[in-house]
Amino acid sequence: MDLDSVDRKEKLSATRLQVSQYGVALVLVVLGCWLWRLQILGADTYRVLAEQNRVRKVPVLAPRGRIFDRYGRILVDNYPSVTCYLLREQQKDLDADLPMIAAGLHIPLEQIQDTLRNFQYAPKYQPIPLKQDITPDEQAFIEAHRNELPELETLDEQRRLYPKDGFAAHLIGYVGEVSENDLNQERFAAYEPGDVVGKSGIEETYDSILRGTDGSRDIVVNSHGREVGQMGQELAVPGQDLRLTIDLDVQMAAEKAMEGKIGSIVAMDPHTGEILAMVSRPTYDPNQFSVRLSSAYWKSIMENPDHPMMNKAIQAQLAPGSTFKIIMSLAGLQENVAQSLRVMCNGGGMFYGQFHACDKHHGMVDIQNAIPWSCDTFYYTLAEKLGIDTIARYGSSVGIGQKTGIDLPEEASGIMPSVLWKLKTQHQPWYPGEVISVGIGQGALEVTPLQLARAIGGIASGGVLARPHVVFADELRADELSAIRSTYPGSGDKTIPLTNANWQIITDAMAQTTAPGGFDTAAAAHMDGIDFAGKTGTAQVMSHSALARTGGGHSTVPNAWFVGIAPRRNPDIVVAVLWEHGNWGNNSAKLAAQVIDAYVTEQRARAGNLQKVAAAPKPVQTPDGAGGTAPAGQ
Amino acid sequence: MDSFFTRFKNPMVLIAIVLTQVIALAIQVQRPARDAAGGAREMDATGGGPDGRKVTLLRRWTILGITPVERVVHGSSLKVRGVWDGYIDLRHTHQQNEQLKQDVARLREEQASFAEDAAQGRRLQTLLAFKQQYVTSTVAAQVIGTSGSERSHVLYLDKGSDDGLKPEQPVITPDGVVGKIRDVFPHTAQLLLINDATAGAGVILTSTRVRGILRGSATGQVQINNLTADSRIKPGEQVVTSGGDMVFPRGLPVGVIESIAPDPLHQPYTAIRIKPAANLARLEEVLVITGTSSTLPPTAAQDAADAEAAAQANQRAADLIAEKLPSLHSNASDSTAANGAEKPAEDTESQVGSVSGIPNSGLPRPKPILHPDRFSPGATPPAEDLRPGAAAEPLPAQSQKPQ
Repeated sequence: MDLDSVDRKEKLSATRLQVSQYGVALVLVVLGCWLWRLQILGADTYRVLAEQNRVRKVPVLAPRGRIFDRYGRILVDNYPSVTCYLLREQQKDLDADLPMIAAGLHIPLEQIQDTLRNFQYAPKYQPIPLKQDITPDEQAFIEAHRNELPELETLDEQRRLYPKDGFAAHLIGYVGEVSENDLNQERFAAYEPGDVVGKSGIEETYDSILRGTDGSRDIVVNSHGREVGQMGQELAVPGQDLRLTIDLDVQMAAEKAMEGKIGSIVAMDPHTGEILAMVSRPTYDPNQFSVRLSSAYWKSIMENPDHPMMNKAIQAQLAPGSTFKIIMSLAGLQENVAQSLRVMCNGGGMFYGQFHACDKHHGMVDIQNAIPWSCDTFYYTLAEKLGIDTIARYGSSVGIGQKTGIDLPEEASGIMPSVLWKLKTQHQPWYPGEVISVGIGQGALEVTPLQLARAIGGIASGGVLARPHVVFADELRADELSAIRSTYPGSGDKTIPLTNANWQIITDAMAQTTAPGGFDTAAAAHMDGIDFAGKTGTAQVMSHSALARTGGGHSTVPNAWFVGIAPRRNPDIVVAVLWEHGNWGNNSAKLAAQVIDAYVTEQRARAGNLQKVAAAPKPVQTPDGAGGTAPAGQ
Repeated sequence: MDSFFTRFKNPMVLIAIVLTQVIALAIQVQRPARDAAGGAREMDATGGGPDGRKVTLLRRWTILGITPVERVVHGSSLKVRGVWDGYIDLRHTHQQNEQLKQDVARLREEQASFAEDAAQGRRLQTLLAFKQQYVTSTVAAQVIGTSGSERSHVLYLDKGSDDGLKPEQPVITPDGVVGKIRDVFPHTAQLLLINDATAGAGVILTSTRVRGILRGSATGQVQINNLTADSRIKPGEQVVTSGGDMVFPRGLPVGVIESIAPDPLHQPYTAIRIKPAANLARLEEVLVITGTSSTLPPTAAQDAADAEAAAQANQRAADLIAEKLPSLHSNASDSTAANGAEKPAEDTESQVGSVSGIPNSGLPRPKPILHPDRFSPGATPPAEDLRPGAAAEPLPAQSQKPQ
């Protein structure tokens, strides 16, 4: 027995020992191979993996470029703001923390849960923005609970700050997060979800210049994901500052003139096309868009029948009324029809079998009287003599019915009716009688305030029309400039034929419009000491299409137009005023006068040509109203 | 089969132990802190924080095992030091004896003044208590150990959930804020100091009423680094808690501003270093605030309201910058406003022109000039003397670019 068992043991150990020896050796070899693989062959890969676990890239957002007026006065700035993000990389049960987060950040719990649901399928490493522009208290809450709520992270950024009261809001535009739709467009190829982009106005057009390049910091994090050090950083490149052609003084005057009204004012330097002021009313507060937009505010904007978001300077398409008579005069004079035309105005006349009224009995009217009197009968007659296609040719030559090519998004082109236009759009022949209402700026004719400013400013400049723009060309590189010009095509810079004699007739007649005595269309807007000329327009809003376009309908009071220039020939400024339901062009003329006065006063101040007086004495008036204001003792 | 187990008893036991450990570790790693692992349930009632925070079983066992040892070590180290001082380190006893006799006399005098100080201290404390009446209850605790790591600033206290301590409770000394309770165990609690890299608090600078965020750092410094440069902030200004962080009640002293320097890594912010009021390096006794009343006494409420009003005034940097931007409703008078006066006499067409509800806008009166210029009536030459589109005279010197 004993021997037997010993025998068996020895026998067993001999074989088993060998087997286990080989087994152990094999296991060691396998382990050795794996060790070799891990430590030697895969060293770099695993080191990178380990580093990534330890080092995290945190974006450093580049501040957008600031925006200045033409003299370097600030219009748009940035302010430091903190956004709270939720990180989901932590090994944590987030749901249990949500009530505490909701209380600390003052967000309804359901809202956080909704946000989380929206990001359900987003990659885990993508931080979820919980709340923008948090208060110091909320930031203190996050910092005081870093241990309990390591999933909360804050990010400093420079946020856009726009002027209050919607000052120049339509011109400047606003920024917002890039939308999913945008990301699919080629233009936004370089953008990532969550990036902030310009959504309208200058912010949109010049987004690539204003935006800058985001940087990043490589931070070392501990096992809780908290920053404990910094490895390296790539500095953010701030966006380029932009200087606009806007003149803050002129803009301010235009904003004040339009307060509480509906419509638009656009002021331009006709020599260069530099926009000096652009106002649209009603307005909106772009600051509301730069942080999360409240639904109540959005609703109030969307439900406003006067379209606060619409930049009426370039998007309102309305009948120009009598302001179009300047373009009619251009056509009539250049066609050598108007010079010799004499019309007897008895409060209207019969054209194509229908009576068309004039607002007064002007008696015998020629071209010199017809402009300041704004005699409809004269222009009915002229329109009948010229015919629609000649009018359309001149209208198109000064840019009516085409975009001007201003460097702002969503410009409207307006309508210059013609035989071809009617056939194309309405598939109907042109009835000759329709030309009569076009002759006084009614009918199917539709213009934007900017088109009108450019056209009349161009005629007053002897036929030289400029491409309107809001940013100086020398602010841009050549490729940027050509990119902008091809993105916003339009009528652009051009010169139309206009004889000196005709130029003189039109501009002198425009000066008569605001001259005191005699003609009464805009004499109330007369300013002593400034060679202020212009043309009124009072456009009926009965047309259903026009009604639909303004979205109004709450009023059938006519739209008041005025296009003013100073001085009368080769003007330095042209101002187009559209006061919707302003009733009478003369009302708009007074608004234009305020803008022109602000401009001229500023120019005179810069040239040192203002009297330094504590209490401004009344300027001495010269009897004939010409020759300037000669103060006593000079 | 029976022989198999008897023969491999030792390896089997070893494997079983190793397996158990591995499984325990796996549980610890895979289901961290959050999950209610069996024994932690009782912690729910006592130690659970407002967010239902729990401590893992393993960790709790470890702490339970180590704490008595630490207590013994802490106590015995004091005793050993006493033995050393009392019996062994007698080398300079005689000289010291003479010295000490003089000291005793001096100390007796000092004692009197200390008694006075102590009374004053009590008075101050009552004063503090009066001002902060909404701190309703505190628990005094002794520091019994440190975390033992250079980078983390965590201390162990000798009171725990059994004494009413909960996570997030603020911890103070009579000098000022020290930190807050992190994890709580039945008889022990962790104190996270305000200079830890993961600590933070909302603060107010007392004289400028500017709100800041206090943060600790890996090097153990206390800083405010969310404020932009502000010339009003000066070293020496007192810093107190703002109450906005939902941890520290309002008005507890934190420290004074030690230095202000631009922070190159966080443009445009500045780094404001704070000297903590409490001596964080030598903490022995602390007070844990275990209860605050939700309703403030009238004086405290008034103080809070004042501070709130002041904070609202400069709460957002945005408001300060907004003042520099153009605004329609600013008081700054400009030429347009000055010239915007109505001239009703000249409003010849007001009968025709005015629409009910739409006021007529005033007409500006151009300012008097020194000499006629190109805008003056009659200054424009006839068309034949002009080149179309040309500027009549050179425009005044154009703007300088913004810097």
